[in-house]
Amino acid sequence: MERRRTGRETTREPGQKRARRLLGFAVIPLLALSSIGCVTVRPEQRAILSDPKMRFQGDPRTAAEMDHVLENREGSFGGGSVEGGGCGCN
Amino acid sequence: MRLRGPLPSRAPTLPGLRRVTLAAAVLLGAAPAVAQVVEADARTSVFIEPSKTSHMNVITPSVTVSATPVDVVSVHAGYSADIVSGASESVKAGPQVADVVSAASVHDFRQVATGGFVLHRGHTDLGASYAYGTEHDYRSNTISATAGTDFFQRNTKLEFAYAHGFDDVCDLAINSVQAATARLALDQSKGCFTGDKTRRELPVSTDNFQGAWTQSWTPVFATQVVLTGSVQHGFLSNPYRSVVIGSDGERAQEHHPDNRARGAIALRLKYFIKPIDASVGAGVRAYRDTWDIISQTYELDFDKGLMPWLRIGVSGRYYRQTAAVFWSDDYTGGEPLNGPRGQYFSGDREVSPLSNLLGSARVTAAFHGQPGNRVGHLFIDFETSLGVTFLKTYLDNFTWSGRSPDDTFAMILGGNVTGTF
Repeated sequence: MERRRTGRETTREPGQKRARRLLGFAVIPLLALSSIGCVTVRPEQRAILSDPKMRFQGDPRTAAEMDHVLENREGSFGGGSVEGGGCGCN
Repeated sequence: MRLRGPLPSRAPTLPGLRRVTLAAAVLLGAAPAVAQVVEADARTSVFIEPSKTSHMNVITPSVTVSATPVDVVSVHAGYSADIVSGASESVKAGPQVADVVSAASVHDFRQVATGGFVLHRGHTDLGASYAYGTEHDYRSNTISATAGTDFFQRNTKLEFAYAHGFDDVCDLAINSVQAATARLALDQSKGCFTGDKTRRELPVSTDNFQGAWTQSWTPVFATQVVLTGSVQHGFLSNPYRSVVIGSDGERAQEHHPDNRARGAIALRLKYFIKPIDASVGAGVRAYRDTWDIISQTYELDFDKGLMPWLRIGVSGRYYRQTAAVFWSDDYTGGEPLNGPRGQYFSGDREVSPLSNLLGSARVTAAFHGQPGNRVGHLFIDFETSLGVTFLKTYLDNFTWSGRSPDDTFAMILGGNVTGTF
């Protein structure tokens, strides 16, 4: 009896671990997204975020020029910045 | 003639989607307020790579004009060129082969025209663009679509982009009936895309996907996560490059796999330090592809306001990559007969193990006017900047017949003028 139970647990364990990991992958982004609703920057507080110094990777056209140079010298690609962050939203 | 690296990398990339367009304007909804803002940007960069044998200079002028005739539509048009002059090695050999490597002069003129539009509706932007690139031995076409929206009081922004490139690269016609080990490298671009019977055009297709999540956490702190995927299919080698594959100096045209899937994830942080009117940023990127190149990138930047109209930015970047699974500095022996190094052979330093160190500085002057009080009686906004970048490459396992390349240092000078009317 004891042995059977142990056997079942052994066979289920990898599957359970995988399921738990998958659940973690699904839950963590959901928790992160739901927590965003609590962490708000009010429109009148966005002045600094709209500052050009807060742009990711600086000026987008200059960043695109540099990407062009690096893509001809490295085997990698992608992950480049997109506009955002410093939006003059209000 | 190309600088170096896989040909598809010349296609406009996803960040380039921002430099969109010429447009078919589709108006949405009710009649909007008239905006009529025009922005013009002119810039030039000069790439200088000194070397005793294979120096390279590239001048890249570009101009972009964007207009917002009505609040819901922006249209864009752009033109850029690469004027290339210098010298480049066309034969790759390893240390076991006597020096057969010599540099040939390189001159090329690459032009890209882009056009497109962006629709703005509430908190959502939708854009589309087209880019056409031409040079003596390469044609590229790229269509792209972008979508972006923000919510949670604009603290969260999601952006998605897709681009499809369908290109053609020139090659020798005779290679169509040759085994890979017997193919000859293209000697010159003369005859390409002219119907010349000694030339053929080979297709290259590229599909790029990108998603980005930008989040403002506090009034001085924001983060960004970017996911990129890419699938390439077609002729991914350099048609001009030969690789020595026999101990007696037998050579064949470079032969890369026809398929490549690539993925990257990047995380960036930006924090503003109020007391010194400066921001600090940090970023990491991880990359992997089906050629088994794995890379990591680390970035740091610092931007400081010196005066209300003047700011300076400095940044540093470290990059490290492993070799492609088929990479070898020497294909003349000692490699497994049936392994990927026997099936494919490359002379491209981009697929060899290497690291890059980059440092840059840029000074920007920006002036903001009002409709009734314009800068220089002309501009609503005016910005100009000057920058310099230094790039040093460390090659772990790449030689020209045992000789280390001396073109591993480059300097890039750049400047721009942007005005909004």
